[in-house]
Amino acid sequence: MTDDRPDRAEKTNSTHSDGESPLAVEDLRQEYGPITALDGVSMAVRPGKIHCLAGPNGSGKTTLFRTLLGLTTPTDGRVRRPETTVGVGFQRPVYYPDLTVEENLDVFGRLMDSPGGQWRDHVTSVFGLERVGHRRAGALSGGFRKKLDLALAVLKRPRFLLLDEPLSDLDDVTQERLLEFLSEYAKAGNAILVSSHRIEDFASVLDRLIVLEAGQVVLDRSREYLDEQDTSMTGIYADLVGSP
Amino acid sequence: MRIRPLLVKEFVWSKRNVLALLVLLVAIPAVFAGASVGFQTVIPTDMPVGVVGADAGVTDDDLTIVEGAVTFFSDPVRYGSKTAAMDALRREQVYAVLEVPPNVGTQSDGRLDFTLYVDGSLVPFRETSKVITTNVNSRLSSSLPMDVQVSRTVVEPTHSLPEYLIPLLLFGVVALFAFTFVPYNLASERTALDRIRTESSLEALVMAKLVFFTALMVVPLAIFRLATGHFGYDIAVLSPGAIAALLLSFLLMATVAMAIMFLTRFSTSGRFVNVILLFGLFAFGGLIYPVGFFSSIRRAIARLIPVHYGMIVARSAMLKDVPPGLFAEWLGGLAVLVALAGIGLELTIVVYRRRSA
Repeated sequence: MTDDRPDRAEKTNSTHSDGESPLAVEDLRQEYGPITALDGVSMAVRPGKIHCLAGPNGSGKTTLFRTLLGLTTPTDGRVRRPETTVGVGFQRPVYYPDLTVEENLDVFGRLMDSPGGQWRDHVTSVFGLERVGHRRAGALSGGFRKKLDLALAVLKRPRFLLLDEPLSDLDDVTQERLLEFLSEYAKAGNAILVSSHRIEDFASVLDRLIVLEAGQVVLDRSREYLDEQDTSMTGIYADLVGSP
Repeated sequence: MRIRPLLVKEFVWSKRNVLALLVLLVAIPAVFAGASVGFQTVIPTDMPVGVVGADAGVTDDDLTIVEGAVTFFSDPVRYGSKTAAMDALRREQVYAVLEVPPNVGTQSDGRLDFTLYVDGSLVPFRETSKVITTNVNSRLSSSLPMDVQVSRTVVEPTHSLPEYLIPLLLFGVVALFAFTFVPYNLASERTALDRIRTESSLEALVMAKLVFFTALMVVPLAIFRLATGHFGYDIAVLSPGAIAALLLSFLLMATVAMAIMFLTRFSTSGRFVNVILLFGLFAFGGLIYPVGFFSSIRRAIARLIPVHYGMIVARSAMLKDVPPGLFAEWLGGLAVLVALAGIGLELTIVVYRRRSA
């Protein structure tokens, strides 16, 4: 299995066909003492596509996310961030717990110069936040906290949207609604990177699958390539990481 | 009710947090008990007293003779002019100024009139200063061949004890806010910090907090102004010097408190350290009583604490008619320290970012 890995990654171009630079990392290495969280990771997130970053727990997905966001300085390697807006949804929801949902949207909306108006109404509706708008965020259930975090991620209508484990804690209806939203958002020309340890969650919408295991990219292929394989996407993933 | 398993849990928890409990139950009580020693000297024996000639005819020999006589119960500090000596009195660098007449060393009979100036706004020193006057009279009479008369002159407005306590209480509110609410507020928002970092910066966050909370300090100032007006106190709560001293002191304390929180990654121990600092400030900062009342070690400690000077400026500006430039040096020093604390805060933010990477 290990011998197959180099063949499973395509060479990535640094510029999208429409000229917009991707969000990319090259030969990224992240060490925490004796632990190597990322080991020579190269990948790119391009406009108009949904990229699914899959990998088992502890494979380095969150570390890669934080590095892409500049929250972690890599030990070695290069991060290229395009001069455009980047929105982020965190694995553990990030918001002001003492403010209400609406106040969080107001504060962060102003901070990010979000378009507001209809877009904000749309976002609030997609994530079903209307009925909890006046509730203190810290008192919300886990699911609503996640919804608030996702709403904050897309509030400024970013060109690049990075969502770390976005489906965790969400009910089935909201999961479906989020997947629809992501599809439309990518079709509008925006770049999306979602991480998940359950590949089947995004199998229906992803345009590119990147599999991370033990800090290394073991697969980076387009949907077309994956569809041509005899094995299903879940099967390929299980083959790479040992178990789904 | 099954209490025993919960008692066991408390024991296990205590073992895991033994350091905090040792500090809380052993170190702090020991320090506080030790600090009480500093209050044993009710009438100070080495209190700073300014010595200055009444006119140009007073020689160095005259001043040296007087200094020798008063050394028994004070630590004399010689000044070249009465203006400098009185400024030192207003700044609580000395607690009395002894004005020396000419011919102390040459006159052998007749009478010499000394004047001991004391600050009427230093209420806790009022009674003590009478004893000091008697002591000065007694020591000079026994040291000099002529008749000696020491008169006590109170300068600056005389205030009541409640009036004297107002600056202290206001300073206490400001310090309490800086060392308890500010750290609590910052820690309560730690769950939002990653988004702040991606959309703005931690520097912008702390700057906004410092600006906002400093502006909020206007509220207790206004409350104290209303209260003192209601009670008819003769005290200038909103004097520019007092406002500047309180706000600069608040900025300094809040910046230090935030730096501690970043350094401890918003943990409970960070809040704990801030509370200890608050208690330490009141125990050793010489805020309540004039620092001359205490032992030389405690006096030295108090004078190493920057907000000690902020307290003196606030107290002086509220209780006395001080010239605007009298405390410019100290206020400038506080401003410089605020800037240095800001640099320190930035360093702790850098460390926080690295550790949370």
